[in-house]
Amino acid sequence: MFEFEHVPPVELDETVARFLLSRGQYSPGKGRAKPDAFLPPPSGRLSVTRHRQATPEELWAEGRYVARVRQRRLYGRADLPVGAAAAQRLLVVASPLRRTDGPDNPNHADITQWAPGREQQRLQALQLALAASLVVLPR
Amino acid sequence: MIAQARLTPEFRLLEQTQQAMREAFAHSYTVGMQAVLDELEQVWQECRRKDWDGQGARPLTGRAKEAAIEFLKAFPPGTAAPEVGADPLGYFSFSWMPRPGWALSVAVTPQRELEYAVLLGSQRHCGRLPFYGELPPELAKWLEKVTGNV
Repeated sequence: MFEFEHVPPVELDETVARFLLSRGQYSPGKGRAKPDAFLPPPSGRLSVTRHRQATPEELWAEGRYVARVRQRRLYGRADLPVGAAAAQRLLVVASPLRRTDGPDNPNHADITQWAPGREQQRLQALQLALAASLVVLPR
Repeated sequence: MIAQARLTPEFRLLEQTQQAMREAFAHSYTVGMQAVLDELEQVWQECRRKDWDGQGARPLTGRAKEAAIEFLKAFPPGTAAPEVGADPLGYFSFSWMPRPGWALSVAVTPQRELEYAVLLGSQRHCGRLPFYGELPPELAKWLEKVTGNV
């Protein structure tokens, strides 16, 4: 993971992980994330974690922490190339998380600048889902 | 005799056609209805409380569930079974993603509006349609283009 004081801006060739905490966010049979996994929440900032300088173990540890705090089950993650988000005119911005009740996540980022209408956001999410790769949580 | 027949191109074509029909039947909405309803129930159980995604998501209400089931009942027999999802704004959604670049996603709002996005190769469309208990012709057209069977 990054050092908290030295977090670089997100580059186009990076990959970010979206943790999947609901059965409605992925299709195990078809091995892919559903569009809903990438729909922005009411805040308009979709939470992701950057792969850059993170080991697979660190990524899964962050996913498990998020699931535990939200009292959810971690099913897996959808890995998204930042370039695919940029192709939808979305912006991925570094947003390091400092936590008082758990481990910091200096690799945290937000996907922002969504289109104004929900149907346009759905179109963007659909294309992100097609560009993402599903990684199921190892047993 | 049978072994000899199996070698003919006609027999192989017949076998392939039967296999394709069996697969289409197994994945059709009519046959897969219970699986879709089971998935809808599971998604509802997971997303019926406020903030189910930890990012301020709105809950899937009973009214949203009723609208979603009504939408499912509007499909004609033979429609490809959709995958069920949950929109953080509190809607059920259904998606068909049969092959790369071809996909349709439809959300059913509790106010009975259908919010859709469709990808047809290089073409993209999105919009909203009212839902009066029947599949709107425009949506049926997109679904047919994406799945090839309505």
